[in-house]
Amino acid sequence: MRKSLIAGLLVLSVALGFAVFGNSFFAVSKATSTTSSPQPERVKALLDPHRDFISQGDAKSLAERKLAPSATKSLLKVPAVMRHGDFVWNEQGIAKGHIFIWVDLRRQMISAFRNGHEIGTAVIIYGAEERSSPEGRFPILNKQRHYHSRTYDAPMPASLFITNDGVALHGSEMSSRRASHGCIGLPVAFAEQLFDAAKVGDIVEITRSQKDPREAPRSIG
Amino acid sequence: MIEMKRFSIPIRGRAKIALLAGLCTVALFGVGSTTAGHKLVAQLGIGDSFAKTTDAAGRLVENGSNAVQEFLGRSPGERGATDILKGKAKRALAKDDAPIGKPKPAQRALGKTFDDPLVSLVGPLTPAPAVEFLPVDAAPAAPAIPALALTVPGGSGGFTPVGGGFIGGGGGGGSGGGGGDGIVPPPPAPPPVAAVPEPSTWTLLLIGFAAVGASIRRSKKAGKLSGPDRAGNCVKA
Repeated sequence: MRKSLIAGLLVLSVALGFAVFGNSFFAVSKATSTTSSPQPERVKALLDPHRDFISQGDAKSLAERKLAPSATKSLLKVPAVMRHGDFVWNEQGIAKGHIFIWVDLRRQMISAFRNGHEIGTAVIIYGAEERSSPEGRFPILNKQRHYHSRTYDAPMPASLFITNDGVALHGSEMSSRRASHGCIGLPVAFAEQLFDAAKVGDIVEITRSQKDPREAPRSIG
Repeated sequence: MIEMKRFSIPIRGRAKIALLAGLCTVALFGVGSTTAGHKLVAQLGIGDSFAKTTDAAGRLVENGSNAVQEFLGRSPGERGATDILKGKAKRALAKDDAPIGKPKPAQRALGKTFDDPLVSLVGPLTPAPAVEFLPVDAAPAAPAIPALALTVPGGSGGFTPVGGGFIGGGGGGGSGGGGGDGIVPPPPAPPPVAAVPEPSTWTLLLIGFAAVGASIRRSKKAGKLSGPDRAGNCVKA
């Protein structure tokens, strides 16, 4: 009788330990298996508490609705609604390489991906209706860190030019009521991070995601 | 009898076992709900455990994983009413901002670009046709030089080159001309003079007025001092 009671208490304590310290337990177990893993960057991403891995089905669904690239592996954790001027940048544990920039005009969001992992996101401003931003896939043609537009007499720091007629991703003052003449406006600090990470030839995809009919209309400002 | 006693479980023991089983179930649910549990599932490649039904595009919002829900929820939503950024809106072309592949204009003056002023202002230089006949009085030793027809806007005749091998009869409209048939586009109209003078013009005008005023004032002052006073006495400065 006593033996069974002791065994039951042991099982209970182990189960509770799992529940309470499960997070760190799996992290440690993954850390110990890092040496033999063929995909170290994926393991690093798993260890990163600032990002969430998504399944292939989720990635496919996101791509079908033009919400993210099809090869998305992980997304940054952003638990709150972002406002104009907010951004998140975290490339910890993600190997260096080419980045893929995804701009969703409908959601007013930009995301930078490297090897399928999201490393940065921000709220954008984009072209007004009469001067709409171009949509499609554009390679970065030119980078200019300190650019001042002669046409609009405005500073455009950390400009990544994507067309020959002057459309660029650049730092800008942010407001929910602002619209550009076709460029993609970013928070200045985010634009500088993106400028450092992006290389000439990296792809920028500007698109409008499909709206879910059941998605509650939500517009701030 | 003893063995039967060993395997018989009293009622209190059964209750304890049931309690233990319940606690273990709750604990395992706790593990599954943690982030590490999700990561373990993703690492093992179990698949669509996050999104239960993702066949239709509209199902994603309701059935997606927490990560996808957060991804969708981070957006501030669609844009509302906006004010376009201030700028020089009248200049539609943004060629100055094009960083690469921008062809440099041939000339630029006063904000206007002229591609090739010589070609546009002066007609093309074309060789004249061959001389068909020679007058009787013509000097036989005169060489027949192919004439160049220099066309003038609005003109119909040709200019005979000096030393030509013929004597033209009537304003060059004959054989030596040949330039009259060239269609020359009219020269472009001169740029209209601005109705409002430039700031530099205003400045020069004001400086001129000030100089004239100062000189008049000075001359008057000098005249007063050097001229006779009311009493008729001449006063020197």
